[in-house]
Amino acid sequence: MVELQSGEKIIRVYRPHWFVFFLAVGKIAALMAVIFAAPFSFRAYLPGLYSGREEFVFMGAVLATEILWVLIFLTIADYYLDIWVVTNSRVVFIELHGLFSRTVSSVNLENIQDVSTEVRGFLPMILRYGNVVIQSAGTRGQFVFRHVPNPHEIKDMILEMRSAVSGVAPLSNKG
Amino acid sequence: MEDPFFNVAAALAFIVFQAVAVVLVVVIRYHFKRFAIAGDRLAEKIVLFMSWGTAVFGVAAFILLLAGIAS
Repeated sequence: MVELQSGEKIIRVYRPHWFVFFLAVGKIAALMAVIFAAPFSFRAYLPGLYSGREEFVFMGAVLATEILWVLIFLTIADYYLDIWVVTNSRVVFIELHGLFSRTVSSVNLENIQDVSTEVRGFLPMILRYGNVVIQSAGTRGQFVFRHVPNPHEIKDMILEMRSAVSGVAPLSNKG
Repeated sequence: MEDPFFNVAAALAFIVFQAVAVVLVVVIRYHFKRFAIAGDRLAEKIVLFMSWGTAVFGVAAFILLLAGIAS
């Protein structure tokens, strides 16, 4: 996963907010339930529809459900493996893009120029999740961690750690 | 069933869907193995549960395929 340098310690590991995960899995699970229940409903209300091919129809429903099950697995992987690791010297970003692409990048605390947060919408405001944007002095420039819980606390923590490492006073503690 | 077309079509559909499912599961398992925190028990349980779930769906589909061909 993350290869730590000598003397480096993991302070916190962040994942996206559970509600985002719940929404993504909920949509697939609802579709799964509909596809799985459809053949039973058709059989009950339209008897004779399958005309002797009942097993194959049910097999089709099971196969479609299986693919959706695997999509849930992919959604879990996307949620579980998209992480921010905050250590005492840097912030590491690990992001899964689709099935065959993964980005691992890091920014040293002393290279962080600015940290900002975005909380947009009713549910994000109520459930307290949003985006944290880190502006760095490196080549990549900007790092965005989406749908993270308590973005303001994360921002404050990163700014405090940055000031502790570089000896520079925190930039700002307001949203 | 007398018409062999449905038997062949169902068998082909089964093979294609299973191949897709197995490839996806193998790739996702690789991601977990490569990027999950070492010793993360929850990640191991998730991988085990989802893999066995896929296998159960596969076996159920295979049984239905056999039943369809036999009927």
